[in-house]
Amino acid sequence: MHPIDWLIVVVYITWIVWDGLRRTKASTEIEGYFLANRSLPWWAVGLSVMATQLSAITLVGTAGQGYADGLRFVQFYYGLPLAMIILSVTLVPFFHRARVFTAYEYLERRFDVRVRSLTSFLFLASRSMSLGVVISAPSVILSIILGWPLWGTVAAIGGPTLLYTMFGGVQAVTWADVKQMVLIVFSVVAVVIALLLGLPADVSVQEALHLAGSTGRLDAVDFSFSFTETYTFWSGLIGGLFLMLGYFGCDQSQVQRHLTARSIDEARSSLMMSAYWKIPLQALILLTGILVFVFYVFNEPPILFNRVHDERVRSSPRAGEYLGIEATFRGNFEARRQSAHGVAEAHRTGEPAVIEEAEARFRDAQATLKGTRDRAARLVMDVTGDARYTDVNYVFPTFITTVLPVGLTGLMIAAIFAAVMSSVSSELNSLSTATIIDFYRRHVRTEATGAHYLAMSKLVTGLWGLFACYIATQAVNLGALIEVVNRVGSFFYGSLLGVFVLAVGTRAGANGALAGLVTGMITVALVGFTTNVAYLWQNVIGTLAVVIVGLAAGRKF
Amino acid sequence: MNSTELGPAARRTYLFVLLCEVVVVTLLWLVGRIYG
Repeated sequence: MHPIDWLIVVVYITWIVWDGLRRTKASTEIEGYFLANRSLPWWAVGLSVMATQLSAITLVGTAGQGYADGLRFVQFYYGLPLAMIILSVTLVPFFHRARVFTAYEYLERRFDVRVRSLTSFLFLASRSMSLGVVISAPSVILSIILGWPLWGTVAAIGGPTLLYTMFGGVQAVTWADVKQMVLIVFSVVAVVIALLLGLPADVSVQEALHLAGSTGRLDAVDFSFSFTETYTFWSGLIGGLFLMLGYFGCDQSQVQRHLTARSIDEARSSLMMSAYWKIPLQALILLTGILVFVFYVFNEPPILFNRVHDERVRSSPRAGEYLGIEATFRGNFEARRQSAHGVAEAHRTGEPAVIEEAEARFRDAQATLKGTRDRAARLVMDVTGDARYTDVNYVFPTFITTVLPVGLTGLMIAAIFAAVMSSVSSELNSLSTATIIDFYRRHVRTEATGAHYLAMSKLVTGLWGLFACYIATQAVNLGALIEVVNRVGSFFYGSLLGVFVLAVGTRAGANGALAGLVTGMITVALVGFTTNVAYLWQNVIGTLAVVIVGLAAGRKF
Repeated sequence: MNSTELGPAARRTYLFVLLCEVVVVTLLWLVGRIYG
């Protein structure tokens, strides 16, 4: 990267940390440290909610999805607006009136301390491990793209984030999220403009969209109904609704965002921001990936986007075979480029038959090129022994660092840092809140001064941060363990939502809630391990299992 | 309106959110139809 790009990244990180540390004085009690004394405006909370959800792997991975698969992934979010409305009417007023610090604190008032402790423990276990992944995934990508050691990228991401989160508390987290969200949107829009300006002189924006559309990349709505297909309109609308209800309504990392709002109305307005903007934002990020695809139709892409794997195959005994595939790939690329120009020309004629023929030729060329790339990928799998090799997540970072002009590269790398830091800071803050409020203050030191709890909160934030960074550096070795923990975490969302449904919508008792929670998680685990039911539907199954068992058990106990 | 009861303004807001979603999804669907 050019020194100017590095300067942009360093200035961004310094600014965020300096501004976060400036807010240290604003937090003298845990109410200020964890909830900003419930004083934040709706728009800041709303941007924080969005920034927390948009992690670096979401940003980079979504752009990669756009490149490889098009708009299809946007269907994942179709249930979100409805979820935000339901939460605004139901859980948000309950939480705010109860004046709780954590969502699980409310469950003790409604049920008993066992339900609170179990749900909070499950949150801590799953969130702390997934936080390791949230840091490790972009760290691995950036370490390969930038040529740094893994610990270097983990430290560059984790160090500054830990500093401002630990000392500045939720005030620092939220105001950093605001800046980070603005930076991310601004950078993505700038990249889209650069991509549109970078189209060949003889290809218009419309023709570029026709090219992408001819490969199915602009299909954003699939009305087919299937329990095994991951992204369809119905799985997004119904399964996504349950997932978003669980995430925004029962996961402390999100609940804590809207608990910092000045009033119930401002908390509701903050959720409405996501309801309005999440789908358009995701569509924009996917569109960026689609335009990167169009860019690489006219400009030769590397055969593999993961440089490390590319180098490993080149230095392996099968290098000759790889060079042969690469030569074929170049020929395939040239043929696809010619056929793409053919599509643009055909659209200028306006003749449907000519257009159809040109698009069919382009699709064939694309399929041939993809086949060659798949051969290279299989070679990587053979050489590295990594049977799940995919380089989708490397497409966007490779494009950023090798194609974008000086300045824009730095801005977009800063945006990737912003995306990961905004998620990590909120999650660290919520892990510390659940530890202190649901365990330390509830079970260990029930009576102490505000200064003591504040000091402990900062210490615990620091410890969780160090733990997450450690997990991130060990993620490659702990892969299977992390996957298991994350899998258990995914069993937990729908079931946790079921417990909250029991809490606010029924007269079920504590025993019913506990029996429901355990049964729900086991049911989802069974469904997850023994069937092909797509995971969005598993949230629906988990919630229903908890509610049915909770109500049935309520009659018995 | 600090309660779970929905006033007319809140109802209007939520209906408007749903309307916006319908419009956005329809536009995305149309993009696929026009360019696909």
